[in-house]
Amino acid sequence: MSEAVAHDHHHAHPTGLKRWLFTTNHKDIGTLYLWFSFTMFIVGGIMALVIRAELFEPGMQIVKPNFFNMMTTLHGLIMVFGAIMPAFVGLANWLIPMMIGAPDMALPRMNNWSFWILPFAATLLVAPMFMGGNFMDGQGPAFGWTFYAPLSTNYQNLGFFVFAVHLLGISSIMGSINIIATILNMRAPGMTLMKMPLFVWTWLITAFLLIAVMPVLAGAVTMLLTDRYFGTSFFIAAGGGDPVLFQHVFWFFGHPEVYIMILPAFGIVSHIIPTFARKKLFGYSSMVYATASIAFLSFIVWAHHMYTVGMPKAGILFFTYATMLIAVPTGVKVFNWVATMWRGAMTFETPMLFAIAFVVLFTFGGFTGLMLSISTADFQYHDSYFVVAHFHYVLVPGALFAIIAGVYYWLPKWTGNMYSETLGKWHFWLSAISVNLTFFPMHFVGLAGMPRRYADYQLQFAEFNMMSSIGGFVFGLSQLIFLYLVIKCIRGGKKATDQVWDNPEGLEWTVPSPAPYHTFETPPAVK
Amino acid sequence: MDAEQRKANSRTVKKAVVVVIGMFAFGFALIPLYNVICEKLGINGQTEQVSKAVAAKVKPDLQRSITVKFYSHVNSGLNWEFEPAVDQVSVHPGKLTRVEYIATNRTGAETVGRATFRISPPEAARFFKKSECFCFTQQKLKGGQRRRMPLVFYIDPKISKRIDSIILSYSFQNAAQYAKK
Repeated sequence: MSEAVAHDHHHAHPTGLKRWLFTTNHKDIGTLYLWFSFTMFIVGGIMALVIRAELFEPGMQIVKPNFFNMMTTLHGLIMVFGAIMPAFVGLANWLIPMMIGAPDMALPRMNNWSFWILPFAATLLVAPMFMGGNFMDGQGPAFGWTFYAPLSTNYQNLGFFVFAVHLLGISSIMGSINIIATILNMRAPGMTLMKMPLFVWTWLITAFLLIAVMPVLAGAVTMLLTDRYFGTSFFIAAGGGDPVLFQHVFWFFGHPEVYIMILPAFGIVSHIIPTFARKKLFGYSSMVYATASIAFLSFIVWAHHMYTVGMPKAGILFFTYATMLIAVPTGVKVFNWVATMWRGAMTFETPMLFAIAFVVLFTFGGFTGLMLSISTADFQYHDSYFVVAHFHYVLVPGALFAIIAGVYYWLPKWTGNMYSETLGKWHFWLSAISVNLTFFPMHFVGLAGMPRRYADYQLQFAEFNMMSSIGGFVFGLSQLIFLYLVIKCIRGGKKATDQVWDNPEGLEWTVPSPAPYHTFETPPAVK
Repeated sequence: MDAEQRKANSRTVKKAVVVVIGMFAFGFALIPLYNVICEKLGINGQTEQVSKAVAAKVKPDLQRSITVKFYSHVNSGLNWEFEPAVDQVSVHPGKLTRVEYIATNRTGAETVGRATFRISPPEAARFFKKSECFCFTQQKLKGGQRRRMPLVFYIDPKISKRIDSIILSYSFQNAAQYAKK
């Protein structure tokens, strides 16, 4: 590895608001993405707490049923498209150029554009919530984040939703094209594909998934739009369309989408575990191939989300076996992480704690996924809280914990200051305990037959729901510790060394802390 | 960024844009593709329409009988009454059978409905042949009108021995928006 190449700023760049509006710097844009994502995380989180408050006791207490449905819908959409995905793009912006020794992203102006579309898309998405006079009668989308036709085609403000999704799609397609171009063309001399850090590899594969499936999503919402406003009947039975076909098209996008939200997380964890186990990552190339296999398989398993629509046996069997097959490459990954920790000189700083929690709890979510893949069993689990528990396990202690782990891991590099380890540990333990308190009981109520997406439930589910609600509020509030910790770390603290951790691997640790505005203007030499 | 890198970037972008446009088109192509693929594999749950001449030539298998049950359903947007004349029949595979559904327009105004159907188990769909069905076309009923709607079918004798009962379920929706002028 070369020594750090840090330059003073060549040009005076604008300050204040203009700096952020017009910036083409990958670090600035990464920061914007991360703050946007955190804001959306809070907004979506408040919606989740409205849901949990309503479900604290049986009966209708706080909101009207339609408002409740609006909360489940917007919570899902905002967390997927507003929080998790932009957070990964933010990390990609900050880290990929530094990891591959590039001065910036390949297409800096498009980078600015792909970020600044997001706030407008989010506004369009939530705007109908404030229509309808009384706040409690808001007319936001209330058909579930999966917007199945024909329920969604009957929604009066469908146009807002459709164009919001279009904008979100355009933003992430532009972001992905940028990432692909950066990784393929901007690597420092000597950085061959098989020398790339795993975060870069997983993002490359994710970006390909994104440009393959986001246009399909755009097509699906466009078809809804023309069904609603222009008299077509792609999905309306009365006009000769087929509502089940909507589910096929949606999940053809939807399943790769769930891997879009987890592959970069695999990458992050594959950086953190070796650092704190003080060993090289076990099985680097198998990690790359496993990621690629998961991406490939994601295209041929979509119908496992819709076993109950009345598919013939041949279809059900195909999707059952294909789905189970995904456990193989995923198992390879989990094995590699565990093997990396095996006999390592481990220490348990906050990023490592989150990474270990990721490995354990993501695997747990994977196991319930395996249960759901068994079509005959799925007939019982379908659309129950068991499914809610499953995907929250892979998304919250899965994707979200990996993002948080990544932020803790690279925060000293970004800010130049060490974060408070004490607060970090508080954040971790409160989050790890409360996330399980929130989602674990959902398995039980789901198996006992509590359906998802209802504002009320039968009395026998009361205790478990109360536990979930308490867990949800503790989890939500403990994220404020994280916010406080990050702000405190930006403002000052113990100075971080350039390496930050004990001999971490990667070019990003060869630049000074905090990382200067411009890095690697002269490419480093990679051995 | 040097000129060479710029060129490489613009090449990559062009390729990626082609992929994006291609996949957008593919999203729409999925609609006919699903129909074609499922039809070829015989897994689309659709039944085949056959001519009366073909239907007459099939030899019934008098050794077997299959129970066919008729269900009906009207979607909330349509104020019709809609029921099978008989709830179930027992037929020999290959024997042409005629049954009727009865629809009544409960409103005072003319309405157009369209029926869709489903067959359970789905594996039976491809052996269920119809030579006449009210579901092939839109149905227009004047206010208060009652109509007996025929369904003429036979079950292909090649159907799996394990299937001894089939459910045929029709559902009517309001098709006013899509009425043929």
